[in-house]
Amino acid sequence: MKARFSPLQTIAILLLAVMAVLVIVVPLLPIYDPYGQNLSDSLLPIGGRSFNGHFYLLGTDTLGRDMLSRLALAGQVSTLIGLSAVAVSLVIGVTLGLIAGYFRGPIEAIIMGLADLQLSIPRVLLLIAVTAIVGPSVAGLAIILGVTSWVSYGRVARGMTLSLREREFILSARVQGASAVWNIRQHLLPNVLPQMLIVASYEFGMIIVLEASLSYLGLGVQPPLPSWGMMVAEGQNYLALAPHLAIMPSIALFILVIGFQFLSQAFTKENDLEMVA
Amino acid sequence: MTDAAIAAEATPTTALDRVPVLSVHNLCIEVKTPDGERVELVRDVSFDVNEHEVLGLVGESGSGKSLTMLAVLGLLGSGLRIVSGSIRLRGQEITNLSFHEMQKIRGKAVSIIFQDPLTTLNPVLRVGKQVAEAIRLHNPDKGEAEIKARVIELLSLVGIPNPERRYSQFPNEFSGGMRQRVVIAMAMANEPDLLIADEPTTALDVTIQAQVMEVLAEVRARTGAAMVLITHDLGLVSEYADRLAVMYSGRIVEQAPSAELFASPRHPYTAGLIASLPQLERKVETLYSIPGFVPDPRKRPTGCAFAPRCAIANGRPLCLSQSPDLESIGANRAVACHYSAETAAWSTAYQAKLENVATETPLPVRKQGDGTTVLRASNLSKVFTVRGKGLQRSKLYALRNVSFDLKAGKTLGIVGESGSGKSTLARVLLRLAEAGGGEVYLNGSPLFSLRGRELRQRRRDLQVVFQDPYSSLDPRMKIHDVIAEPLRIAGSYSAERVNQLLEHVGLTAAAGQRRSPEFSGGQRQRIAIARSLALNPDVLILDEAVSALDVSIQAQIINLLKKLQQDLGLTYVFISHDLSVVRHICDEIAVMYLGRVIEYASTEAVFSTPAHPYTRGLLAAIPRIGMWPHGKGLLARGDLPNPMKPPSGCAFRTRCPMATALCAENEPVLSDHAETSHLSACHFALA
Repeated sequence: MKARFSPLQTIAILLLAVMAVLVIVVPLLPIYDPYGQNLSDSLLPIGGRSFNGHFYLLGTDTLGRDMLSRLALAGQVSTLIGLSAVAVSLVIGVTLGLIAGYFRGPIEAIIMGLADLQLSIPRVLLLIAVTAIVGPSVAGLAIILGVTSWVSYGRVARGMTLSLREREFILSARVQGASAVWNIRQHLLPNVLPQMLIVASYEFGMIIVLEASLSYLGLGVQPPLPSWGMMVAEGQNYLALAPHLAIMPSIALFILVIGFQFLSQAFTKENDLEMVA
Repeated sequence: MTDAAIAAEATPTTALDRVPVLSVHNLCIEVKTPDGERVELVRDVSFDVNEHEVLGLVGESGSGKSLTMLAVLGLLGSGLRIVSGSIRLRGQEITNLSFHEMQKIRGKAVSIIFQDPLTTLNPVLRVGKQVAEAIRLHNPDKGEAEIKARVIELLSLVGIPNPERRYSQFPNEFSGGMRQRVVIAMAMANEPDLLIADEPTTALDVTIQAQVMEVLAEVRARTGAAMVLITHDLGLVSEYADRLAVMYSGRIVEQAPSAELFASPRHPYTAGLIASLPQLERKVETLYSIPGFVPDPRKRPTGCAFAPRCAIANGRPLCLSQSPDLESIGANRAVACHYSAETAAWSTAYQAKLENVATETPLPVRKQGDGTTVLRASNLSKVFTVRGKGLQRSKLYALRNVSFDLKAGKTLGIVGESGSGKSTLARVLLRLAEAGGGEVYLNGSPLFSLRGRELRQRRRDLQVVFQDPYSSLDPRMKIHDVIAEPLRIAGSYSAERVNQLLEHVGLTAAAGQRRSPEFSGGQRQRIAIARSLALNPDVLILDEAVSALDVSIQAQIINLLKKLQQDLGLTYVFISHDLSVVRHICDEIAVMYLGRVIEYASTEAVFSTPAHPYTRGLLAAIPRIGMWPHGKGLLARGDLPNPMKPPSGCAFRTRCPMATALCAENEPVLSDHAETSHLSACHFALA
């Protein structure tokens, strides 16, 4: 029915559209090879043209690689890691949260104790420890990030389940002989899921930042594969000479994260309205 | 502003005592929907409230009664707007006042008491401070000690014991009735000229309601404030209001002095409402029910808004084409109906029909079971352990030795105030909560030892309809799927069965394709009933199943339940706090107090010769049409005692007008006192 977007939604959509162009459209264009080194073209500024006539829209890095194509590739890597990690944590968190909330008792105590334990260990420290042992890889990074960030989904899902399980449509179903699996699948999951998507859009931003910080520390994505965090780390040595090396990936990171934050807020507002109506 | 209002403003007020306290003229309130559509919610409403008078504003939900009074307070929410009309408070026009000017009037000249004392009071502020705030706002120069003294005076005025100690307590240390007294104290703090009471006792138990209304009458008598009493409860207004205005779909349809209105209603809606009230005094086979439901303000019919539901309109062209104006008929009376002259004849004819049914044909014999016991509860008990401070644990006896025996095709009423354990009983019967002791036998076999699959099979014979029609349906599901759910669980789904069930409860198969938010409360309750019937249960537990519904809708659902019982041979456990409804539908009644059954007998016996003083107190506390003043001596005093620390001996003795030393020592057993099978638990049970 409604075709109009709220201001918040509009901003979120615009920001994410910019990111979509960078991550999806740019790689399709005839751009330079992100791995292609050209030492003679190194450290060109934004819009810089080399002596042999190569044009670099966003300049080049220390090894003369095209910043635009590296930024796009890094964006793909980050988004991929972010989405898979969110998927992993969503599945774990929702499952544990629904189980804890529906069955209560010792099961709930164990699951929520696990959540507390998880929160009491600093996540970055844990990630550093794990990557140090297992060794860094894109898939590994996604799984580790996912497994360690289920708590917010679990908490919210449990909280909602606690109030939903006393709602009369669930009591009715129980009286009619519905099993726990039936109630969780038919009633709880569909009612909890919209809220979970809000949590997910918020968590996505967190995970992207976390991945960037790990890569910055050299524990995340490994070269020659680029990552925004790694690009910032490389660029910081040249802040005075070529500030765009560190600034460009930072801006990209900022746009993606703030876009998802706004999206999450827009979702929240819309859902509040639905509850009132 | 209308011409009349401007004219009135121009002429100086001559005698102040002739000026009504509140005078509302041609008030129209509009809401702007998100789609930009403008909808009139209050239409051309005019009324006066005179000095010392109580005006009852009656109507079903959505009639615009609360909105009208919020407009008087200048508290209309965003999106709502006064389009035209005037509101004068002691002759002063207030519709054009600024927010600041209005603030000076609110709480000073006019104040309001809301329905729910739990949300009216701020839970983190001490009660005394909150009352003091009401005083300080309008008397900034008063000293701290002076204000405190006034607060304590106010608290004792509204009947709060130990006001000095209560002053520094928090709202959670007060019971519901006591909280509402605090709210009354706040409202009366500046001795306003006009008090607006918006459903002031709807959230309270009936014995507490009587006490609170009493307090309200006392403080009004003292300050001489006029009052507007907004309520859906016709019995309540008939006792406490001098004059009534009945609202329907945003308009006032009838205005009359209270006694005259009930004696001879002139609008068919008023007549229908009165006819659809279950009466305490007598039992009828079917209640009158106004067909249909209140129209959506966006889709009001042309002509008279009530015409589609009216027993008199009969599709007459005038009713369908032209909306009747509120016209004065005789002194102090006005009605908005083209054919108001015919209402009296309709009422008489309807009454005659009822009496004919009552005298000529004794109640038709129901399709009854063979007198076998379907549901038997024996010595049910349930104890909750409540955590206190630190390691303290106290026990709350929610059920104590509850037993009953229910025959096929009969209805057992479980009656009691909140905290009496009636809802716990429902949960224990349904095995939604585990009992601490005792056993339930369904069709002769015990229920409590069942586990897993066996339990899921057997509990299908015992179904439930809950109170809240809004939370009992999954908002994400289509109605067809809601009703199909039990069938799908049992693996016996067929679309025809679902349509048949919809038809049983008076809905069409087409309704199944819509989702629950599109339905009104009464329709949702029909859907919940259809779902509970899906697996052909023997027993239906109706947990306050009609309590949340408007009067006209309540009558529809009660009639539906009675019809279903006859057609399907169902057995009901009817849990309710409303004795007049219970009287109407039940064969036997068990009255509960603090987890215990204190009287158990046939409906006739309970109403004609109530044996327990608590039952008599309950009966006396029910406001009813034309029965003022009620037997005050019978009213239960004070509040329900703390269930964690029940009084020694008889739990009711602290509130009982008859209690003696014996009552504090021995707990009376539930036993026969007079004729057979009239059980009561009182040392002084009346024969």
